Amino acid sequence: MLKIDKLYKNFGNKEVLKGLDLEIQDESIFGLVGINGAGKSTLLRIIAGVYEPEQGCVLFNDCDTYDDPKIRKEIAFVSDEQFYPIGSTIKSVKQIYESMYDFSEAKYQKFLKMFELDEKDSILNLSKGNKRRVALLFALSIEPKLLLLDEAYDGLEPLIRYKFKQALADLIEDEHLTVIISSHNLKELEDICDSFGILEDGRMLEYGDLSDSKENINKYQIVFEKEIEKDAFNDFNILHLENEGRVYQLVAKGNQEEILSRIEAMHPILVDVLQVNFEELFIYELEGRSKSNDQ
Amino acid sequence: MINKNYFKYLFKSKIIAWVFFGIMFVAISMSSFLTPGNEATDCFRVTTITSLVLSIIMSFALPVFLFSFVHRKRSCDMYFSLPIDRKELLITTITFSFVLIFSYYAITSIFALLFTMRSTTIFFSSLFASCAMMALGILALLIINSCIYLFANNIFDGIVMLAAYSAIFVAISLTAETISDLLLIPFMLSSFEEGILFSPVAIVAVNFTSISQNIVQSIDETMSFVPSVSYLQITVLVIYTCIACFLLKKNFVERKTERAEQVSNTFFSYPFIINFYLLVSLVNLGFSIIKSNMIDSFILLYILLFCIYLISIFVYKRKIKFYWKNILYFVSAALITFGCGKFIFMNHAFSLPYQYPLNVGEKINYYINENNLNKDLSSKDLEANYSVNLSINIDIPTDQLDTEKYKQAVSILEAHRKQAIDLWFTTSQSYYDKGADLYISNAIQNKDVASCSYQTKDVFTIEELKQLAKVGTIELEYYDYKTDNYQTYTLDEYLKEVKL
Repeated sequence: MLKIDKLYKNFGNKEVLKGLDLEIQDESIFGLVGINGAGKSTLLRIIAGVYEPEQGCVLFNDCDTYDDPKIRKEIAFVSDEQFYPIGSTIKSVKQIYESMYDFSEAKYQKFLKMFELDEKDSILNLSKGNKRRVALLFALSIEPKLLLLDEAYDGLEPLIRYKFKQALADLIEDEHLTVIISSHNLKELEDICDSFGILEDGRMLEYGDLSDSKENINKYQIVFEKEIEKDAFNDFNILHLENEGRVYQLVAKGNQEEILSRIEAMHPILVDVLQVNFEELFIYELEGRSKSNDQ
Repeated sequence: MINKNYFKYLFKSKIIAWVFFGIMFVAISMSSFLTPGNEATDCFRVTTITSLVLSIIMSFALPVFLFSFVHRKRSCDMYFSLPIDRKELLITTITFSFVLIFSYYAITSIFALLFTMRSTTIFFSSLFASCAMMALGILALLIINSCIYLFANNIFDGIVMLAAYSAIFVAISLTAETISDLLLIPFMLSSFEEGILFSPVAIVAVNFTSISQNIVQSIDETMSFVPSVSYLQITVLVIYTCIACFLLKKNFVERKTERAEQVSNTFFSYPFIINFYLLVSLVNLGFSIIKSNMIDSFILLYILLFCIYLISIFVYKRKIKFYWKNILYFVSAALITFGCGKFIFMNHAFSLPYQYPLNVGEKINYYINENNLNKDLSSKDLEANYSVNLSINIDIPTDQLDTEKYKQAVSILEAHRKQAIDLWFTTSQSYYDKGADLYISNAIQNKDVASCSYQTKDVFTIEELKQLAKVGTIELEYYDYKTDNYQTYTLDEYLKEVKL
């Protein structure tokens, strides 16, 4: 399990993480989302042991990922932009992973084939997408228990993404892998993640099981006989409310049946319930948060 | 403390490069053996010096090469997420560098010995001592240079730091020499050489050379060279290394990874270097103006220095932007250094030039030149078609200064010397055609300890010259412009010749 406890991180005078708490269960695929500059990459780097937090700790299987280098053998970090020494080939880069990790040659060959790479290729000449494949190749070959992908999933073409998803699913089942993916492509994340976290203002705005959260937030399209005051909806846990004349769109958090019965009490002509997707969930959560800040 | 896996990786990852550099190292070092006609002992000595120079160069290059990952954000992600403790990462990298350089040196030495052993005597004690000195020196330089390179936050600044810190001792020594020249302070005048010798590179080079030049000797030669090592300098080197180890802990083990590719604004990087060199330059300039009194020509130098200062600020901040505080700072520093220099000059350097330190076993040498004298040894008339040049050379052991034999002479010489000092501090003229040099030397080692040059105006009287002739050598040279003839005399001969 990954446990993050009261994590603080500053860059000079700028506070990026402000007492962040988070728990991620084993064998889950966690989608980390947030606006630009929210601190997603910073958080992943702290988990990977690259950055030292000002306060707080990150424990993976009860070991501090910064202070205990041995636990980092089980952590693979794929950043958004990878580093390869000048003149390196896939084969030459393999040396560091062979030397420093429990490298699996069988997995390496398997993923080399899956990603359609040639180990004699000069990495400098590869496209951005192929460089991403190389990074994923090595990340999977070291048999990690925790895989951190910082926008590394993006930029893969659909077929490779599909194969990668399959590979992840197998690894989660066989190797009890935990994955944290940060991405702006929420539609893609929705396909693959079972849990999520929204990072906002240095803390986790919302995190948990993706399906449960989606069930807990619904979009209600309501038509009344005549236009009514928006104050009538004050009792609801509103994330978003807009109207065009007497047609209202309400996004609210809470039990669907309960909310429906309260809407019925307002005597609408028509009520329609629509499920939100991950992207809408993200947008509405942030909107709801900024509204409560304004109040 | 050493991570074997990482050590193996460092070797395997660039094995072709290491082998290539090794071959080049040995080939360049041993190139003197390829020149026909060279003595084996000379070839060996050239080989040891060349291998020393190459080792020193590598002790600068390897930290840049192996620690550059710290200065790039992307490589930081890779290296600092490795399952290796930072302290291990540091120690393993430095150890690898040391093993690499020392291996090159050892292989070169073995080859060189094999080539020379048939025609030479090998002094194994010197051989082991030189290996030990090389090992200590290379390790110290690697640690110190790694520390300096890591003061910066990016590769370019790291290289600038290495260059700047390497030149610090030269700058200090040159400044000390300039000040002591201008203030006529004898005991500082040898500081240039000694100042340089407290630079880590110089300590390693001088002490290694001292030991290694006596490893081999031709069979028919008799041993005459006595190698000497300065334990003081080696202690200083060890102190530098300990300080560097402490700073490496701060700058690597406890380093904030996010410093990569940022402006190098830690204390020991640009802030210290820019201010240090600015101060040194202003002191040199300020003190030089005071004596020359030619402020007009120095204004250009101040403007040039200001431009260089601004450029260094631009390089430091990576922004072309004027900061008023920098302009104010420069002007204040220039005024303060000039003011201090003026104050010191007005107070005749607080009587320091009148003194010189004397130790047992040393001797003082007074050497005085008076040129363009009249026949009666007074200062010359311009119309004369001859000139008389006088030189006085007197050696006095310091334990005999107060004896009857030397007391009178010392009193005369010191009176003239003090006159010259007062003249120096009260007039702006910097050149007279009469000069005096004072040397303090170690009589046992026959080596100068301190020296000072004076410009004099007043000539010695004949009575004074007669007193001085009792304890030293006085030579007079008569030069006739018309006939282009020189004639040399002792004082007695001259006085008889011109009937004085």
